[in-house]
Amino acid sequence: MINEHVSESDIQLYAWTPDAVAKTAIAHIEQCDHCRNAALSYQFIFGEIKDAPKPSFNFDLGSLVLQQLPLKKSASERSSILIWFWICISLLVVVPLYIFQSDLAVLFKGVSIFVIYSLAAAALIILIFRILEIYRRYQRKMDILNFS
Amino acid sequence: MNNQPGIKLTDQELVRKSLHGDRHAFASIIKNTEGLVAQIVFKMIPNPEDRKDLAQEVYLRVFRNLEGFRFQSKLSTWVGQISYNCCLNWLEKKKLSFPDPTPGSDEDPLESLSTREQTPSKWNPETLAFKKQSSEIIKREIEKLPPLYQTLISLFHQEEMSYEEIGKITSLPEGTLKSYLFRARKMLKENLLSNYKKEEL
Repeated sequence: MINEHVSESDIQLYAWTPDAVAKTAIAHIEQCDHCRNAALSYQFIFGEIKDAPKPSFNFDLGSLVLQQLPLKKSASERSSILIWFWICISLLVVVPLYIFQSDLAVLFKGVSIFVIYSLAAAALIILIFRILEIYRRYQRKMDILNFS
Repeated sequence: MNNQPGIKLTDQELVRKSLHGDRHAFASIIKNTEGLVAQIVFKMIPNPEDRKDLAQEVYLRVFRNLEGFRFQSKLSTWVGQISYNCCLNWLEKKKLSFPDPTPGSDEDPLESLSTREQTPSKWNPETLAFKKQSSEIIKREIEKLPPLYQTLISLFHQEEMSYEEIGKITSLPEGTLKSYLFRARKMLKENLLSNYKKEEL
């Protein structure tokens, strides 16, 4: 048996799943009033939470949602829409490429290395700002959850 | 194609039927998962009217994204994930600060908790009343925790979901999740002890 009090996390674990705790810790908890009381407190709390009535909506969620659902398109209708969408996108990309193919070959001809560098730097700066924005957004969410 | 009463369809069948326009199948999905959605929405959203809008928004989003669901998790876990994200986005949009929890009464209802709990008598009206009282106290204290803690405690201890499932819903790594749960339980116990001045529950 260990003489020092077991950790709070072991006490919690003991209260929830005693089998997961080391035997030496179990022996201590069973002998030590302080740790046993702490474990009993947790067991009581866990039991109360488990037995507590679960929240439920006081309205008929199913019918509220069902009346808002759009009429479903058939699978074939959906797939044909998707095919036409991709055809249009492809045309939008391929046709200009075909028409301006001669111009494309000389697009970057004569462009100084400075301009290319500036474009790359601008793209990099935009990327950094986007990453910062994502990070700030994440932080805001954590703040909302009181975990700043 | 209606679902016959008494026959329980699998999640795969319900999703397939819903995608083919079977509204009863989608109603079954709602029925099977609304308990979990309620847990998340009630813990994260303080206003009842907003909860109503949000719950509907959750299922409309589920419906819109159902085609993309690939059964990489249980259907309920996926719906839970959508609920959690909807709540989080809603909170962010509203930039809500959480209201102060309902102040407790002056009485000390936990005073005789320990002795009464240790000597359980028959299940008489007195013990029932006592049980109800202690449940109310714990419910009140849970409501004072940060919303994420409330959600994690409910999902783990009431819904008995695994770390993996809760991790998928909240997008938290397992280590972080365990750490949050540990802190949530500890905070709950300490709040109970300090607010009700009990040496032991």
